[in-house]
Amino acid sequence: MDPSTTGSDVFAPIRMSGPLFDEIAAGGGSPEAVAFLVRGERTRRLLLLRELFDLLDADPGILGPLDARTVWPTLEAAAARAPEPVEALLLTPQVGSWLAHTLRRLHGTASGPPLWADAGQIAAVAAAAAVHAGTAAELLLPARGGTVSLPALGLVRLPGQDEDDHLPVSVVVADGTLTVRTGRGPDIVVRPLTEPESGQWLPVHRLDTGPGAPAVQLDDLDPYRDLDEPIAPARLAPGEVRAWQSLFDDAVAILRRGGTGPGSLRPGEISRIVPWHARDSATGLPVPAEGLSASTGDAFASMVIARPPDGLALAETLVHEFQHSKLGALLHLFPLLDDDRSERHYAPWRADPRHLPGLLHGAYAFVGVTGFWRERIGDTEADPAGRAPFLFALRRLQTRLVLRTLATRARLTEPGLRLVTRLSETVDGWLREPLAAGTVARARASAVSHRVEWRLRNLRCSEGDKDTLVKALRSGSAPVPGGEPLVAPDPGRGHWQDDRARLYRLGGFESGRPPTADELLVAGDTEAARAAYTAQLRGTGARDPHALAGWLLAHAALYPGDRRLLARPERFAALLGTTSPDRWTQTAHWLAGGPAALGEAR
Amino acid sequence: MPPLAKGERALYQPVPADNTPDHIESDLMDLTSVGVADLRRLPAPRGAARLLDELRRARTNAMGNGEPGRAE
Repeated sequence: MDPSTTGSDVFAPIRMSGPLFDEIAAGGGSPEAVAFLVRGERTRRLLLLRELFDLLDADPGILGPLDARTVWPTLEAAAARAPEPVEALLLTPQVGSWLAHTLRRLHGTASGPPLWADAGQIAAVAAAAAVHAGTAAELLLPARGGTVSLPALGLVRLPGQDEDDHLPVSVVVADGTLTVRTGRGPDIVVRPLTEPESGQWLPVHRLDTGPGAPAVQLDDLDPYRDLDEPIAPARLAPGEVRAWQSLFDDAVAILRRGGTGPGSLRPGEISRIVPWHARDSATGLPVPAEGLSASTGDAFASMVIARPPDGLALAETLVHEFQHSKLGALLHLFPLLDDDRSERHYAPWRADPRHLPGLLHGAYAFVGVTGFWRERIGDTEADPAGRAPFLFALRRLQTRLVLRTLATRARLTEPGLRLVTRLSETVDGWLREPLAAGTVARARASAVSHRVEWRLRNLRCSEGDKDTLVKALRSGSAPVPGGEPLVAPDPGRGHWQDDRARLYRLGGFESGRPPTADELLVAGDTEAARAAYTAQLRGTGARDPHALAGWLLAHAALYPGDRRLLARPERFAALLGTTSPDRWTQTAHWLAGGPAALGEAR
Repeated sequence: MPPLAKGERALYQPVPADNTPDHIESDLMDLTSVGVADLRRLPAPRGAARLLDELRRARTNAMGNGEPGRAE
């Protein structure tokens, strides 16, 4: 290769065929389409690794006490002798997350332990490559908290180091054996590719996916297994590992009964699951730990997951997070929209406002989730409670709403427009599929309920609009339309869960005790529900958004002509400070219908 | 199918016919033929600047406080 040439002279750009793009864009993707994305990820990893080596060349001092000169020759020799396993190592989530984090550290947008220890993990990557290739090497590796981490292989435990220590340790690799010279006792010798768990070696757990399919890592060790900053190893107890394998078996069995369209997943395409655990304690969490999951575009096919209650929940989460991986990989290949980071948009699956890229991620993930529940309809073994029809009905509505926001509000690139088009076609097709009328009605009511409460919690009228509305109400003139609401999540309230959603899904409630306002509303006793919400609002103050949303939903059910109130409930909320509860009904009529309605109410 | 919102008609533009070349081109070079061992001999890569710009944006961990699951 002539170093005087540029990349543009030597290499053609990556070109994705339209049909392959459309497979991903519709929300699914054949093995070939996913393999294309992996190819793109490989290019990205190479570019990032090259960037890191360039930075280390420019300033070898970044590696501090480590020996920068030995790293590249070790990696190069391993890659030359055994390209396939070294390629596979480069593509692991562990290397992806570490590489991205280290480049952020060097750019000043991430923090962590001493920089040399973060950046020095490159020596551990080189050592792991030498182990895979069977080549020889002598390196200095960073040890942290008495451990040396080999990406996607496991962890060497060193005696006598404090938890907060970051120290260089001397390592020799030969014929697949790794020898750590601790300097404080005998050498530690391990064969990372085959060595079982012992006092000095913890291998990465692997979840069996069945005959012929690659195992999935269950990673409780790697420092870079979270979304950015390194964290300490947190070895699972044996019973916990067995519980994960059992859940994973159930999830795989469920997924294998599904089809091949959006919402399906080939379990062997998952690379890694990271068990979620609270870093300090779970008490500070804004939401229950159950159901938590997260992923990063830096680590394709990897996902952080709190252990779910059953295989069905795990299967849904795997689908959800793999969708994020696919979209992340697509975004690495093609910019899809102008990256406006303004957090102001409604995402039906979240408590807070989102920016448009986040909305796109959510839409893509929930097309997968919607398809997942569609596949489960009638699968009584996977879904004995029969939740699938409702969840399919709900998610198809909510996903379509978000796709509409993207179509009308986002500045989409050409590939981005094609993506949103294909996703919309998928969901529109699903919206035409028949379901029981009662299920559709409950799903629609649940979607409206969430949106109304979200607006009350996150939006408010400007002071100018509020003053104008109050004056119009007092004078009996028509309510003025007003401008865009302000995005103002109430910082005192934190995150919230949509308590009515579960009731809408169940379609009923326990008897034997007085029903709550939510239960009355969902059961269709709207008059009683409105009275109960009014009582709550008198007690808690009219600012309680859950009760206020419930009041508006009950009012709109009693007076269908006033349903337009639900589109902008923050306008009604703006009037409550100047209206007593016994006049809320008249005020609602006026806001929905103008002065004539106010006159009638008088 | 739900009614279209204002501006949404643009979604339903036709895609290229089957017999026309239909592909989407990335600003990244295709490095399929480049092995890891050749990495340092790679000419100045195209498209890396965009990737680096995206990558350098600050992230948050999942295993701490703050709402988890934020796809960046």
